[in-house]
Amino acid sequence: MDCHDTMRDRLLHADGIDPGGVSGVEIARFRRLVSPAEHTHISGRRHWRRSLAKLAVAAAMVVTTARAKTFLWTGSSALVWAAVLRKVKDFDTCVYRSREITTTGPRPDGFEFVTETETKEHRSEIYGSFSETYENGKLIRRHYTSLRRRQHLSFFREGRPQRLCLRSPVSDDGIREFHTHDPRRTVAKILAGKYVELGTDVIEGKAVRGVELRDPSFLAEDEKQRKALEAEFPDDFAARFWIDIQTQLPVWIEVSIVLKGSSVRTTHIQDRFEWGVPLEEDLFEPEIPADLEVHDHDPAYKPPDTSPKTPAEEAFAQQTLAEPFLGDFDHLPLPDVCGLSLLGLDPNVPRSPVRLLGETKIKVAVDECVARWPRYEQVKDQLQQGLQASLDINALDVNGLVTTGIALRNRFWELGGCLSDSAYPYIYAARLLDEIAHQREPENEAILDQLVESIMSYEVFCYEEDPEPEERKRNPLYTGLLADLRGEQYGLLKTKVSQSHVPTWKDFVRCCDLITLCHWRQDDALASEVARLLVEQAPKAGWTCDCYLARLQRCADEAARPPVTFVPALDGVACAPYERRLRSFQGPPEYRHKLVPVHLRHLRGW
Amino acid sequence: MSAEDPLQALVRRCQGGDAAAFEELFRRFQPRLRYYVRRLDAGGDHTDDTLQEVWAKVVRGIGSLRDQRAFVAWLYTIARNEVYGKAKAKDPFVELTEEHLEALTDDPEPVFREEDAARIHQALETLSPAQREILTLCFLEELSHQEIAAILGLPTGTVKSRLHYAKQALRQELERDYGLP
Repeated sequence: MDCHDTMRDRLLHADGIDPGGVSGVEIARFRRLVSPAEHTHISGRRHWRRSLAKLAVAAAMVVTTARAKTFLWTGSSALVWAAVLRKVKDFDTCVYRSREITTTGPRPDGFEFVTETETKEHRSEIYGSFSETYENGKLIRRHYTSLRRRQHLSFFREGRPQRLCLRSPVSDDGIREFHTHDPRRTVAKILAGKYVELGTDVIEGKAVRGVELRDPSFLAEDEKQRKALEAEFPDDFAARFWIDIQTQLPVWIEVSIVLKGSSVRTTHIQDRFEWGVPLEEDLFEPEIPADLEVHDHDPAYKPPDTSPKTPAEEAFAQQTLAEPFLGDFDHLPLPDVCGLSLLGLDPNVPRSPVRLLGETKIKVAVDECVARWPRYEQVKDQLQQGLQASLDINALDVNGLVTTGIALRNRFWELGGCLSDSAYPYIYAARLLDEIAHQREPENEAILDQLVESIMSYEVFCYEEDPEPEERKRNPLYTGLLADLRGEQYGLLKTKVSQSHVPTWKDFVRCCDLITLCHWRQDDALASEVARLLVEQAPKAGWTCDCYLARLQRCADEAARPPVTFVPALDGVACAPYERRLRSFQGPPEYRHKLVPVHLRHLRGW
Repeated sequence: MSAEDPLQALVRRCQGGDAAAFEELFRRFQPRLRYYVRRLDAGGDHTDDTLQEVWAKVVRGIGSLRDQRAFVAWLYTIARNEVYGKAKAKDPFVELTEEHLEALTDDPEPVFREEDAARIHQALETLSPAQREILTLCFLEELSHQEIAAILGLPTGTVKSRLHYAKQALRQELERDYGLP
């Protein structure tokens, strides 16, 4: 150790600081800071696609009968926590802030996508609850649960022209659910588990003391939920709870979870508690404003059963699994294009990690980045020369062209896709190779699919603006070039059908894209014609389930939107960069693997 | 090719998202930062919150640090801005003009011994905030005048002169209280 180090260490010692290290509490606090879980927040009643996520939300809020023991405040842990339970049990109202943060965490491409909502909750054990939810500082929803009227009311899209009111009854289960959403119940459940002490810390200027529970069985309310949990054990879970040392009241409750196989961490935080606040009954029983469109929830509604009922439906499901959309070249090896440099750009220049907050911000960032790129047409010739020099593309057959295009597209996504300033040559090159392949084999529908995919990889159908306007600017390329390409495929399909071809899942996806595009360019005649063809072919092709046929019939009769073909089995924020494309869009490999054809939802247990 | 400085290598690992490297960085610099923040925010009780904010900014922003060698100056700049607030991120202290002080910087500077550390620590509190800050930086890190200038947002000449006066003031304080030779 040199003189300077010694001098420094002595100075630090003189100030009571250990120069050799930091305390365990500081380290724990820092680890939370580095962990993606730290970027947390809440929304109220979201509709969760996966049962476990639903459990997590329910468990994150809750009340309970306190299991108070007769302990005194002596500083020893069990005594402190029992005293907390006793104290909160005495309050029948509380007001608090509730936040939900979902984050992808730092991704391999250097980006982190995050959404946050914040809700001010008012709870009364006697009257019900009232909450206001904000996203990026804007009020987006008010929700009321009246225990007396046994009614839920949600006012959506506050402050915007098309306001909605959703009304639904509160069932007995709903009453039980209301009580499981009490923060006191969460506290009791954490303290009933095998928690560990977190020591002391400071939250908003208050000295606090906390515990942490890592056992996800905390989430289960009953045996059924416990079984669901065993079947889908979370990849990570933590519940944390902090009390004000002085008042012994909760100041911070946090539940953080990464569902099995998910790329997204969801964290719920409740803080800024006010206990025992007087809350009047009318706060929970609002009059519905006259200008609100009221939608009554149908308690009898059940999502359609998509499991196959006929041999044709069964064959359709099997064929979908056997021949996945855009999968025509999956059996071929992809060339290695990692060392390829195009248009003089170095893709390996290190890029700063970027954290984007909110789906709108993510989309705006995508639009701003793509707007900085040169247009495809401006660099196409230069790109072609570069590809010829490096890959001798004139010597490649169509399979070689397309597989190289797929490899380049994958490389584009690896490098950050539409959020990267140096990835664009790869997707432009992919499009160029697909175009050359299409020129060589214009009737090859699989190549056309690849070309459409390459174009959609960087072209979105409308541009986002911040703040979000009611009408967004559309990208004319969709109603132009992409409609023409899907139109070419439709022409080929008509010919094949006249020759006894049984349409496939891929034909169905292409046609549904075309119906969408026809609506956008107000070509209702063609949209109707395409829908009629699909309806005619439905019995033998197998797309007769409710989720497809009923929608197709509406499309054939009037200007209606076509059936949804794919849905992503991903949590919202991870999808944001890949939205604003046609339903057929497959995106990067990790996104494609999570896409589910709607008629196969039953295979995912939906 | 020269070997990379261990601190630079550590910063580079942090930029690659290495959590262990972040923790090592935190362990190394947290005590010094605490000392620095306390000197800047004398009497304040927000040190923990300030440090938390500083590290949050380091974690978020380290990827944007182009030159790993600049890490120490960057870190102290963040800490300083956090204490004084962004609006006052430039220099919060009244200073004599650079021209006025430039001429004095060739004077021999007093030398402090490591044995003096405890007394220096107490004497620092008696100096002006500007002098206390620059000396703290000087004692904590072997920073060049240019690096200190970057942290304080001052011209290098002003740094030299301020340091000169600060050391003189400290020397006088030590002599007054402890009768140092």
